[in-house]
Parts: sequence; structure tokens; C-alpha cells
Amino acid sequence: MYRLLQKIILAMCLLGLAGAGLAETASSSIYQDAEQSIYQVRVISKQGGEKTAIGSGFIVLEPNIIATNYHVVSMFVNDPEEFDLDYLSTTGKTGSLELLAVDVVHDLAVLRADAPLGAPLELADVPPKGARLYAMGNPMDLGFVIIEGTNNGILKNSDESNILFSGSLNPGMSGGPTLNEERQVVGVNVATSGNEISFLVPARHLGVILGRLKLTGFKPDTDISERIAEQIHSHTGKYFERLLDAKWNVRSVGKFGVPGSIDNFTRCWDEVSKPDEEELLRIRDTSCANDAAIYLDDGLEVGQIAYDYRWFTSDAMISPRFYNSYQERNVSVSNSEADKNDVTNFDCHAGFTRIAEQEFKMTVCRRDYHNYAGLSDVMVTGAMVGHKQQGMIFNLDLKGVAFEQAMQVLKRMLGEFKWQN
Amino acid sequence: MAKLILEIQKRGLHQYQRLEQFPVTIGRALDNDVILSDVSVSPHHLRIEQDEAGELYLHNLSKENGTRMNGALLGELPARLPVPSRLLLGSRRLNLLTSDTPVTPTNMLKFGSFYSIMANPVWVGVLLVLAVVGLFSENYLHTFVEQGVWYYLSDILLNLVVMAVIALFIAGVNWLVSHRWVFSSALGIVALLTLLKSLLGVVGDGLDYFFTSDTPQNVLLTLYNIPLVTLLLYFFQRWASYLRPWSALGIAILLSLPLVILEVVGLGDEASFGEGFSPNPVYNQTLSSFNIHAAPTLPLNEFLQQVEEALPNSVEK
Repeated sequence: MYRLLQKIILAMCLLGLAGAGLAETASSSIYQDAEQSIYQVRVISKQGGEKTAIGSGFIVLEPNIIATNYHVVSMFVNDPEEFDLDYLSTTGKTGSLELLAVDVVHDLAVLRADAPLGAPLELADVPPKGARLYAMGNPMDLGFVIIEGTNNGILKNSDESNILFSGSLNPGMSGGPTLNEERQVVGVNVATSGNEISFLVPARHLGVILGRLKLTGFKPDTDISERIAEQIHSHTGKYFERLLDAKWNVRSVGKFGVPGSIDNFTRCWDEVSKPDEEELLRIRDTSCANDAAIYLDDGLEVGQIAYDYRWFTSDAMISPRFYNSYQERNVSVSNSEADKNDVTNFDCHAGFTRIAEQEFKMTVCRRDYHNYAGLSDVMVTGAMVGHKQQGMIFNLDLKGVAFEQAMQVLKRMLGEFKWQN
Repeated sequence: MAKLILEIQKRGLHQYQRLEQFPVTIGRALDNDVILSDVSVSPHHLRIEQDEAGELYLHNLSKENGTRMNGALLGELPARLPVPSRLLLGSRRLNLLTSDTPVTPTNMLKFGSFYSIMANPVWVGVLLVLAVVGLFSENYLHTFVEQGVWYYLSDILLNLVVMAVIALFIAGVNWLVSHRWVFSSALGIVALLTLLKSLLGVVGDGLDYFFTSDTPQNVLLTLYNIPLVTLLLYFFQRWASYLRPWSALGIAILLSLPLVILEVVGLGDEASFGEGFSPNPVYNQTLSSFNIHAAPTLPLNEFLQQVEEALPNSVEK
């Protein structure tokens, strides 16, 4: 999912990139009815005075409350000193916005305008599959549009449980509402992967935040990053608990039986590379990953689990030569773009252990998030040793999890290894 | 009275001229008593005379580059010449000495037997073969595709050429310093250094795996680059050129300076890199077919417990 989000974000920054054909406008009466409730939400650079990110938003619950996506305002959230938030109406009116609360897990943010803006839209449940839906927003800063599409239900394989919307959401429409024919909001536009495959956040998640805010009289949340850490904690905590309880499928890698895909959580791919005639080392590669990620900032996503296995054999090389080539491939890198403002350096512990009666050289590395207390990235890499011409490298990569929980996942994973001689 | 000797300084081996009859003429022209074929010297440059009392006088005849006696520039008038004296004709240095001037003690070589290995072409050949075998096995063990014999042969040839060039350079420097041509010994020392480097690489890898740490290999390579190469070149200068300790050390440092500079720059980089942020974990990646290691192989539960203790939270809540 995070790749889809990235697409939106990236395009948001490339303002003025013309070319996206506007979707056909559907019922003009729906547009006219909802027009006063749709706004463009903008992140403005304090230094330059120009917008650096745009998205859409809509009035909900109160005339001055605007809902949008977290990822639309993430720049502001992560660096409130550098940025301002403001809105632009369909009639060209602008004013400033105040951040009240965010939900990073469901990619939602609630803002308050400096003045009453218009009629609040109502929230509604997800309609039956096949129902007509109308997505609204301001794609690519081109103007406000309405796009007709079909509800294709809640996604099953993704824990984020987003609605699959068959219609063309475009960059900049993030945070805009998708309405049913009764002009009620059933979802918030969040992502697209092109070809009419788009995703909506179910409106009930927004209802939860609004309910909480109403109880506190719409008091803005203090210490947003603490809130975000709590949200990720509780979400990934539950997520990995369920992952540990889910059905783990066995997969064969070389002489090992290892955990492959986990039902409803991860999928696996075999990398088949054409064997090179001259290459003396044979490698079989299987990698697995989940599809869920929580977007925090440009290049910073958490909640991912990825693991892979590489099986090495060579009959043609004597053992020291085989081990040289095996060692050369014993390199694990992190594919995260987190930088020194986000995380500490990795701290590693290496040693030797026995997994499925085979000896492994194992290294476990950990780094912690500065701003999100209790969250860590954990990288595990292990290489089988003690066999003359056979090797196996196992990698496990977890992002933005509690370290103790990562260790539980690791323990379960290694416990599932079987040696099939 | 002791006999007078004129020392003509030349790098490596000085020339000596005994002065018996006066006057003595010195210059580049072939009708002089002492002929100096140095272009900074005039055809008729100097005349040394002796009066009845046995006192020596110096006549400067050169109008071109002139003459200095003990640092003072001479005019056209004869000047008294004390013994001993330092003379500078143009840019050629001469010393006037008496034959009873003591000479420096003989340079005693205490490592003759080991140097005899370097000096013996048979041993040099053995070292060279060992170095080539080392380079070949290194190349073979790090090539992971099938290669023909020509691939390895061309690599060996290239290495031999590089070794020969380095040996030529060292021998050339030696020749300049001492007028001794010691190419075979220089080749021996280069072969020894190459062999040591290959061996240290293997030993370092083994130690890295044994201790599950990158430190042993780094320490060995640093030791090789900084003191070891300089030290071996120092001994080589002592053996092969019979240089005195300080000059030998100076030349050894000069020859190994590029390596030392590279190593120091590398260490500096490493130090500044160590302080900064790295997006990737730094861990020991060595694997060894011999699989000998100091850390015990723990049962999984114990290992994981060890990990949890070794990796505490580094950010305060």
C-alpha cells in the first residue's frame, strides 16, 4: 500500500504536471450539493510562502472542522516550525487551519478552520458491493472535480481494510470525500495504483476520531508524536499478535523447510534467475513480505515485515573457494530511507546458534526511533555454517515494531525451520 | 708531516687525490694536475701553492662560478689555506685533509645470515615462486566463475611486472644512494612483502571469523602498511646498501610514504565515518569453511536471550 501512497505524495510535489485526463463528471446535482463542503488543504512553507504539498478535505460534524489524510499534512506534523496549514475553497477563499488530531494507522487527520466554512457532510457505512460512489477533490491543483466509480468492498488481504474503489483517483484528491447517492461520506480518498484501482479509508475510522474530539470539546492533541507512537504501538502490537496466531505455510528452500507465506499477512516470491553457464554458484532465492505499511513521512514507513531465504550450492568449487563466494553474498542492507533525525545507528549482536540442528552464524541488529518511543527497526541475518559446499542465508527485516515483539516473531520463525535431509 | 689529501665528494664513493708536489692546479681543462669534469668548474679554476715555510696559499683563477673556502668567497688575491679546509668550486665540494685524519668506523652488519638469503638469487627465486603461488591462490579462491588457464596466467604476469617495476624502483634508489646495483635483492624483498600481504590476508580473515569481529584483519593490515613495510625496507637499506641507521630509516620512510599516507587517510576516514550516521548495520560478515570460532554455539533460546540483553533500548522514553 505504501507504494501507492508514495505515488500520490510524489505527484503532489510535482505541481503543474499537466496531462491527467479529468474523469468524467457524474451527477451534477451531487457536485452542486457538496461543493460548499469541499476544500483544498495546503501545506505552506513558512520561508518560501508557497505550497509544498496539497490535498483535499471536507467539512464534517461542525462547520469549522475539516477532515483529510494524514499524509497530506505529514510535512506539517513532522516539522511544524517550517510549515503552515491553510485551505482554499471552490470559490477561491483561503484561511488558516489548525491541526487537532491524526490517525496514522488509517491515514486520517482532523483540522479546524479559523471560521465556519460550510455545511458538514454526514458519515455513513460502506454500501453494498457494486454501489455507485462519487469521489470529490482537487486533482493536481487543476480545480475541483467529481469522479464516478463503483464500490468493490473492503480489501481482505490488507489489514488496513480499505475500500477498493473502481474509479480514477488522482494525485491531489487525497483527503477528499467519496459520497454515496444520499450525499453521505462513506470513505476518504487515500491512494491509487492507476487503472481505476483506487482505495478509500472507511468513514467509520474518521467517526472514531471525531467522537473522541467531541468529548474533549475539540481540544487540539498535545504532543502529536507521542500519540503517533501510541497508535503505531497499539496497531503493530495487535497486528503482530494476530500474525503470530495466523497460519504459517511451510516452504521448501534447499534442504530446509522454512516459514513461507503467512495467511492474510505476507506473500512470497521466488526469484528465478537464468542460470549462468559459467557461474559456479547456484542460488535459490525466496522473499516474503507483508503489504501493510504505515506512512509517517516522506521515506519513512513502519509496520513492515520482510524475510528472505537464499540457498547456495556449488559442486564445482572447493570449500574455501565456495566460502569466499558465500561470504561475498553475506551482506544485508536496510532498504529504509530513515535518516539520522528519525533513528539511531544500528547496534548489532552476533553469535553462533543451532537452528534445526544446523549451525548458524546469526546477527541481530536494532535501531530505535528518536521521536516514536518504543519503536525499533530490527534486522536479523543468519548464515548456515559447517557444510562444505552448501549455504543458506536468512534475513528478517522488521520496521517500526516493539523490539520484544520482533524477538517473538524471530523466535517463532526460527522455530519453524526444519532440516529435510 | 702527514701527507695532504684532496677529497672530491661524489655520492656513494668519494675520490681522493694525493697532493705531493706544489703548485697544484685544479680545473676542467686536461692540462691540470687535478681534473674535475664538472660543468660548474672553470677550465683553470684553482692553484694551490706552498711557500718555503710550508704554508699553503690558494689562488682563485675562476671568474665564472668562483670559489668558496670554508664558506668565504675568494677574491683575486691569494689566500692562506688552512688544513683541513672545505672548498666549493662552482657547485663541486672538495675537502683538503691530511692522511692521518681518522675515518668513520666500519659499518658492522649483524644480520648477515638473513641478508644472505636476500642476496642469494636461488632464495630470491624461491620467494618469488612463493609470492606468485600466494597471488594465484588468492585469485583462484576469489574467482567464482569458470576461467581458463590464460586468465590466471595473465594475472600472474601482470603481478610479476608490477613486482619487477617496484623492485626496479627500489634498486634504482639504492644505486643513487650507494652505487650498488642490488636488483635481485630488491626483487626478493618485494616478493617477501607480497607474500606477507597474502598471508596476513588469510590469517586476518581467519581471525575475524574466529573472534566474530572485523578488528583483527584491520589491525593486521594497518600493521603491515605502517611499520612492517617501512621496517623491512629499513633492514634492506642496511643490508643491501650498508647505509647507516638514520640514512637507512630516511630512505625506508621515503619509499613507504605512499602506503603510509594512504593508510593514515583511510584511518582518518574511518574515524570520521564511525562518528556519523549509517543507514546500514555494521556487522562481521566473514564466513569460513574451517568454521573455527571462539564464541560457543548456543541453543536458540540462550542465543536469543543473549541478544535481548546485549541490545537494550538506546532511546529514553
